[in-house]
Amino acid sequence: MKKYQTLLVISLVCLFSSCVQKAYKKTIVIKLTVHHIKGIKTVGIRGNGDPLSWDKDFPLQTVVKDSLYTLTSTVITGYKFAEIKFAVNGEFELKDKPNRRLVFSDTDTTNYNAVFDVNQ
Amino acid sequence: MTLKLKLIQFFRGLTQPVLLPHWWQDAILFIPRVICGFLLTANFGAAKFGLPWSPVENNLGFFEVAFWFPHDVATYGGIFKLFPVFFAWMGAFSEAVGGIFLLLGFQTRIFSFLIFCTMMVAVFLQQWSNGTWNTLPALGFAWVSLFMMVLGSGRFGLDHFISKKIKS
Repeated sequence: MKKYQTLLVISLVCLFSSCVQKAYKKTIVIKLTVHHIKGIKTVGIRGNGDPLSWDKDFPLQTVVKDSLYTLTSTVITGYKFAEIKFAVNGEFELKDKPNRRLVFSDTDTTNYNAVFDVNQ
Repeated sequence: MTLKLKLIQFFRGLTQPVLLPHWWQDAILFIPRVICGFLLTANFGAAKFGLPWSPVENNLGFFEVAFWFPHDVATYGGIFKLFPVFFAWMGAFSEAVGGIFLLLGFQTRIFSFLIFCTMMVAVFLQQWSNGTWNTLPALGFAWVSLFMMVLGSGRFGLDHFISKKIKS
């Protein structure tokens, strides 16, 4: 009987200790430079993982029209990186090319500088 | 009859599959079982439950449930809101580990039951509001697990070999 009790306790400890992936608060600062496109109406980021989506822009703010756009956002994530692409006026960059990898820094803040349609 | 004997008999009954009259009938049912088991463990389950073949980018530890899944489960309300971690862990475990057991035909009825319950939650509490079309993947797994709950692994599963060994 004691054997079964020990087994039960071990099982419960295994079940309820660290059974959920740890998630961290990460602040992401993105700066996007756009060259050679005039009359930009929308600039957004698309990708996987909340709050991003591949169907809808997560909008960037204009710093210099038709040139520099930025986004600062805080997310809670357990992932090491997110796959992303930028979109200008709803059109994806890097067509038929791999997605960008936004690797989250070990520190709280991740800085990511990019040029539209140019893969680093 | 002692409780221990009763339990042994019960688990023997659970393990012993129903054998169809012809081997090819079992072979046909083996196909959806293996495909569903593989998809559950390699794709749907591994994305939210830490297994050696989980995607690296998901950063999941062994037997860990993805950080976002308990939040999703809590939105179903009721008892799911009270115990979101438990239900998230059980649901992810049923898919990821249950998929392996379904594929191997090992304790098929027990794991088919777990998968069936998980799929019912997915159909009625997760996908129902997204329209019938979106309920189809979960319903597909639910139908296969329902048949496997009744029939067990058939001839082509570990349960059959275990049952034969116990008898001999």
